[in-house]
Amino acid sequence: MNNLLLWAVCALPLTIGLITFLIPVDYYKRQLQHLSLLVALAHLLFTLFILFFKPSGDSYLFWSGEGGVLLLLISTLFLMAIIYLKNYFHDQEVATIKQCHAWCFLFLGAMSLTTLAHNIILFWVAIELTTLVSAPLIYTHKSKTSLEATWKYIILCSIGIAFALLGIFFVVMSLALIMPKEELSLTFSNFILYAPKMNRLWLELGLIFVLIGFGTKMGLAPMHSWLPDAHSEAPSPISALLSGALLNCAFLGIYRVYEIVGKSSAGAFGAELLISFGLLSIFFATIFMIRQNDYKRLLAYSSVENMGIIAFGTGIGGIALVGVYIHLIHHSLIKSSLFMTTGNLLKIFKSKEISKSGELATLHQGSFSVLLIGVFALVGGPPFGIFFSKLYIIIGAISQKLWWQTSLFLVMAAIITLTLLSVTFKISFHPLERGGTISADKKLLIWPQLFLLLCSLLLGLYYLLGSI
Amino acid sequence: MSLYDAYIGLLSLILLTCLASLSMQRLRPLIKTVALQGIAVTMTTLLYQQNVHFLLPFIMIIVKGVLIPMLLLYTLKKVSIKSEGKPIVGFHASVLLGILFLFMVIHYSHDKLSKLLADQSFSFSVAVVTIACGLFLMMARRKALTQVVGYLIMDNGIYLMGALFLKNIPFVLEFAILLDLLVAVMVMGIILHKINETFNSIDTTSLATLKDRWHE
Repeated sequence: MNNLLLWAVCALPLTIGLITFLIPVDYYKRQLQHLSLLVALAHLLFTLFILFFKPSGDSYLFWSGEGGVLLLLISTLFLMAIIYLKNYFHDQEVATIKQCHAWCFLFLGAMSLTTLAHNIILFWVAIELTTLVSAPLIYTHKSKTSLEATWKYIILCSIGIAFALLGIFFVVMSLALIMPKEELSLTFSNFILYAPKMNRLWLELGLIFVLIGFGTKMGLAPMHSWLPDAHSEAPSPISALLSGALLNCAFLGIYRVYEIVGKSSAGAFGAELLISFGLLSIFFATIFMIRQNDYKRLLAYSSVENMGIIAFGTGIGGIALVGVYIHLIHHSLIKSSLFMTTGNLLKIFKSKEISKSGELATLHQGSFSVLLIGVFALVGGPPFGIFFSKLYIIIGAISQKLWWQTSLFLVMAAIITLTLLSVTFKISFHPLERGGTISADKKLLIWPQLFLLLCSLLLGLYYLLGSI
Repeated sequence: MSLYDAYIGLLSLILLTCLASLSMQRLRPLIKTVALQGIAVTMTTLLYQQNVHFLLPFIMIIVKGVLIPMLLLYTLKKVSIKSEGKPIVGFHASVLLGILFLFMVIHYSHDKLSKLLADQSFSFSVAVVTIACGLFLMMARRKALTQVVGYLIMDNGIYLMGALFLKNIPFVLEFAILLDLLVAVMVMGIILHKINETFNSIDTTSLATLKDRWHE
């Protein structure tokens, strides 16, 4: 009975997504939006049930701590994104809205499947599915540039994920060498069980390919080139989902394989690999953020940086791994909130360029406050969660005596903090040449962003009280 | 003819389709070559693996040999483009590079990896060459359709590699992998069609406007 819950939470959005395609185009817009709200709420309800009952699962789907956390995160973000989407799309055609919602449901289903997948091949299938169903979402605006971003996204991520499959085959091979064929089971728990005895060469090879493959999807440098394009061209609530939910799913794949490697004789190799990829990503992101003139791309590169921090922390392990969990949760909450805010900015300034925006503080106070709080939280201002996660990761790095890596990390973090703050001030206060086109719409939403930031704040306070 | 001979024959056929795909300028025969390669990969899997689900080979041949090529041919007809035009790396150079790479891989896997791979070193080399060939096509050609074909070739190679290593993936999952591939080609086909509608060509060179812009 409980295992049925696991299937239901994935099957519900997938089925409704497929059905939505069949609804006639000129069916009422409002009803479609009610339906999406209903799906999001039902998904959240199922997720809470799963977190409460902790079903043991079978050889295809299972409940795990990290998967459960991600599922709750995905469900919450989806609910907020859907609420924001309703407002964001009020002037769009019904056909566009219908397609966007249908792909969104499929996207939700595919992401839920990744968080619950127990079988390594099923996990791969789910990740590939997330790419395929999110590609049309990037093309929602139907412009030339969004088409280019979609093509890059689907081709690069498909190649990447194909490499991940190769890596998974190598990992399976290293298990197949020590197990009789009849008993070979491809579940993650089985891999963990036999990890210490697995063949080292195949496992190392497997980790490299999985890291390149899922790393492409997660946005690790130097395979990140699709990410800024896709994030800047997708509608803002979709960027929020891509950055907040999808990147985490790809990280889960790397984490699951790394967990196996960590328990084997190749653990040290894996750790070094993750630390290098992490630092490289932070470095690339810093370079591209400093003089960036597109605020959505700026946030996208910030996602690259944060994924780098997550990979870095995972490689360090120990207390840094606690930091990684906190970072994952709070980066999702805060970054999604900021991406939704860029939706407001885009509606106010009608441009994604930083040099063409300014005076937000007088134009729309609501957006100004969520932008300011969001950026403050993102750069690690206390008591938001990212402050604690960065602290844990730095403590972990120092306790491992990774001196130069830690200093590099700190310098990059400082540069990024300054960049983000200066851009925020520019958008908020820089005098604007009035062309008559700029006016703040009364209909701009801020409370979904506020809700996400509040979640981050309350969780941060909870850690604070817990640590005292 | 023993089973082993058939096996070697099929692997050689896969190699030949790889080299052929590198030399092809016209897109219709290219798609047909990939269809043939898909069927050859299916047959190899059949010979190599025992007790596969009886439905799997049929489904694989239908998906890789019929449905995907038909989808691609349909797209080709829609975009009304016949040949590759001027590629980034020329056709003769591509074939030469392919042959060189083939020798290198066979030499290396026979020499260094023979201990790990035992009697599978040839099939391992074929899989590696197929994956590399697919990747190369994606990078060395300009037409978006050729990139999809390259992706399919790469996928065939990975599938071959999987067939070497994995003896019992559950049928449902094999089916799911195939379904993913089919959906991928469908989505890529749709986007390709949109690209043709928007830019009046399927050259990926027209897809290079997005880049970072700096402020002073």
